[in-house]
Amino acid sequence: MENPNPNPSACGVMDGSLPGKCASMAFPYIPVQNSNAERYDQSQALAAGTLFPGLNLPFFKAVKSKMNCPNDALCELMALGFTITELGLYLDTHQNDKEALALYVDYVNLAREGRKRYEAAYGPLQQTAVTAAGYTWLNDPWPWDPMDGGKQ
Amino acid sequence: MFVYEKRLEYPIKIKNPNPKLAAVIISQYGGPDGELGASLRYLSQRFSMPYPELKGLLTDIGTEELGHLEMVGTIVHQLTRNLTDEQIKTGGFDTYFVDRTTGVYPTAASGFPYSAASMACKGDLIADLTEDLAAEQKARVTYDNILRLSDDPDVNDVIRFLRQREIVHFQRFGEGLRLAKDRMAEKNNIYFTNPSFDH
Repeated sequence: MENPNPNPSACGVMDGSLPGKCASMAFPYIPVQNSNAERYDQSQALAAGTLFPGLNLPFFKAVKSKMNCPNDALCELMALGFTITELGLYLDTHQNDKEALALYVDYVNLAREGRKRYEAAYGPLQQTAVTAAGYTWLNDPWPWDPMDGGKQ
Repeated sequence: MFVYEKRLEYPIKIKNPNPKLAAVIISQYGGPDGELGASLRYLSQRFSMPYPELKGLLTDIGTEELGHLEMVGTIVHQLTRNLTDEQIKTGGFDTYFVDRTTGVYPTAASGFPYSAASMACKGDLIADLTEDLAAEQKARVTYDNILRLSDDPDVNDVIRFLRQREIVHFQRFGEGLRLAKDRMAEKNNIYFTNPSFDH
């Protein structure tokens, strides 16, 4: 993709210069994230909106805004689910990163346990989760209902 | 196939109704750079993507955007509950209320209903991914503007999260472009013309 060349004037006729490199002109360049990027833990990741400190670029007015999520089964599941979403997007563009894949599998397994704890406490996450208590899928509250963001 | 999970991606607990703020935030539900357009854009573009990384990336980001659509709808719903007559009339919400009551309708804050004209699906991977980079930046700016207009910490916390997701998606679309370029270069497609037709 890019050709290392510390001397931009020596780039080929179809290339322009990136810092220390030559690369095709008329094409947008976003640097690819490194595979050993620093990471937050799952609750910090949910609070930040990203797993990666390097991608955490807050708006000045929101720097002090804090996540309002108690340490309950819902917030635990949200943190695990979010980390899985974030790592999944990372793996879509880094499918050969074995360390990230191992971490992804770990979080998927943790979330499986987290789902069980949540459903035991608050009811089904999916319509198919019917229990001895019957068809509890319809029980309030729903995620958009005020003040609970789910169930409490 | 989609399966619904009965939870939000991020917690939303808004204590104080604020219809005036809801009338602004509705733009990220059905406005030109909102979450409805984002999810439709990516979930539509993926059909014509030639490479598995890009099919996956558009499917996965498009799916997350559906979760964000639910979150923005939740913010609007919680901001418009239990309104007093006075709040309906003086909150700057009356022009929305007269048409939709407190229903959550996909519209821009300006009153223009959701339009697919605000998104593109060109069927060419470079054109579509470049559009996606721009779309993430436009959504990020809309969230910046909401943060400029809002003083409610319960709302700002959620907007801050949604804004940060635009930045991460921008990064991933950029990486997707780089992967696409490598794939095309392997086929000596140096002018990056649509590999579905020309190579």
